[in-house]
Amino acid sequence: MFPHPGYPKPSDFCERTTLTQDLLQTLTLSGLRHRCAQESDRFFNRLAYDPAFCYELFRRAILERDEQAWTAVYSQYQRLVTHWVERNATFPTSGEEAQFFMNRAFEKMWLGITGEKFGTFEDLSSILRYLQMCVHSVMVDFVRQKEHKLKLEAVEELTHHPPARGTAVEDHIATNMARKELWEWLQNQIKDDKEQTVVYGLFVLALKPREVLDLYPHTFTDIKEIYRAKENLLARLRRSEELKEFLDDA
Amino acid sequence: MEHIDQALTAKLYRVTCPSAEELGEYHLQMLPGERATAVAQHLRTCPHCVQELTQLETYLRELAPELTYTLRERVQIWIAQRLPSGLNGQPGFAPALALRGEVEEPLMYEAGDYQLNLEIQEDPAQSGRKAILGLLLGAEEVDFAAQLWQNGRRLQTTTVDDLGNFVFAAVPSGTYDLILSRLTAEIHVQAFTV
Repeated sequence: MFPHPGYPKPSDFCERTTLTQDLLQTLTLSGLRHRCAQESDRFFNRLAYDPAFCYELFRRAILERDEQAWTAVYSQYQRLVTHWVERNATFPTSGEEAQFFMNRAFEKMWLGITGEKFGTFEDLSSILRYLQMCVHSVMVDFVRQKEHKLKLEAVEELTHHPPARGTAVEDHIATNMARKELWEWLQNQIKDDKEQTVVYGLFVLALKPREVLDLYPHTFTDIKEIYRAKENLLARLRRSEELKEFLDDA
Repeated sequence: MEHIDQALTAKLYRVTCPSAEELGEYHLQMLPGERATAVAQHLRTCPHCVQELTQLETYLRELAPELTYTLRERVQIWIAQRLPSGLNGQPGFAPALALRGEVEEPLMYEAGDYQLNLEIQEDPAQSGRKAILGLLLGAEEVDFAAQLWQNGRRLQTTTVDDLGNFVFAAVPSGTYDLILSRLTAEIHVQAFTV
C-alpha cells in the first residue's frame, strides 16, 4: 500500500523509465528536438513534463560532440539564455546586445564541458544550472576586462605611451603571458612577507593601504608600515632594467 | 618609471585570480580536489572573487527553475515501421490527391493502430522539387499536425485533413523525418528518402 493514491508505484517507474530509455536510443535528432521542444513548452506552461528528451539532446551534443545536436540545443535554449542575460545585474550597464553575451555563454559551455564533467550532471536541471553559470561567467569576464582596460588607460594617460596593438586574441594571450611572467619575476624580488603582502594587496588586488591593513591586521601594525614597505620595494624596483622592460612591453 | 605603482597595478591586477568559469565550477562543486583547494585558499585573500562568488550564488538562486522530475501521462510515441512494398493495392491506401508526373513506389508504414502511406511525386508547380502526399489511416479523430524535419530542423508544417490526407510541396531531394503529432500521440517516420 502506497501512502498517496496518485504516487507512482516503483514498477510503474521502472517500466516508464525503460520505455523512455529505449525511445531515446531510437529517436532521430529531429524526433528528439521535437520532443524536447514539446516538453519545454509544457514546463514553461507549468505543466508536468519529462526532461529526459532535452537531457538526451545535450548528451548527444556534448558527449558525442554532435554539432547538429548542438545547433538544436542552441535553437531550443537561445531565448531562455537571452532572458538569463537580461536578468544579470551587469547587463543593463554593459552597452552590449544580449545576443553577444548569449553567444559567448554557449561557446563557453561548448568549450568547457568535457565528457568527464558531463558525467557529473545528474539531470537536466544540473545541465541548465551549468549554462546559467556560463552566462554569469561571461558577464564577469566582461567586467574584469573593462576594469583592466581602465587601469591600462590610466597609465597611458600618465605616460602618454599607447601600447602596441595586435589582434584582440593575440593581445589577450600575450598580455596574460606577460602578466604572469612579471608576477613570477616579482616573487624573486620580494624580501619578506610584508613586501609580499604589499605587492599582492596594492597591485594585484588594487586595494588602498587602509584596506590592506584591514585585510591583513596581523601583518602590519599600522598604515605607515604599509607605506614604508611599498617605498622600500619601489625604490629597489626603480633601479631594475628588467622591470623597465616588463613595463615598456605594456 | 615615474608612475611605477600605477603601471604595476595595471599589469598585475587580479593576475592570481581563477578564471570566472573556474570560480563557477568551484561553486557547482565540479572542480577536482586539488583545484578546489587552491580556489578555496585564494578566496580567503581575495575580496573581488568573494564578491563575484556571492553574485553568482544570488544569480543562480534567483533564476533557479523548478526543474524537478515529474511523471505524467506520457504522450504515446510510435516509431513507424516500414511495411514491405506490394501492399499498396489495398483499397483505401491510395492518396486522395494525385499529381501528374513520375510516381515512385509508395512508402507504407505501420505505427501502433495507425497505418501511413507516403507517395513521393515530382512537384508539378516547381521543377526539380518533389511533393510528398500522405495518407494516415486508423485514427478515429484525425486532429494530427504533420511536420517535415531534416537534421534536427523543422522545415514545413501542415495539417492532416478529415480524411487523413496531407501534402508537403516543393521538397528538395534528401533524407527527412516526418512527425505526425496530436495532444496525446505522436508518430515518427524516420529517415525516409525523397
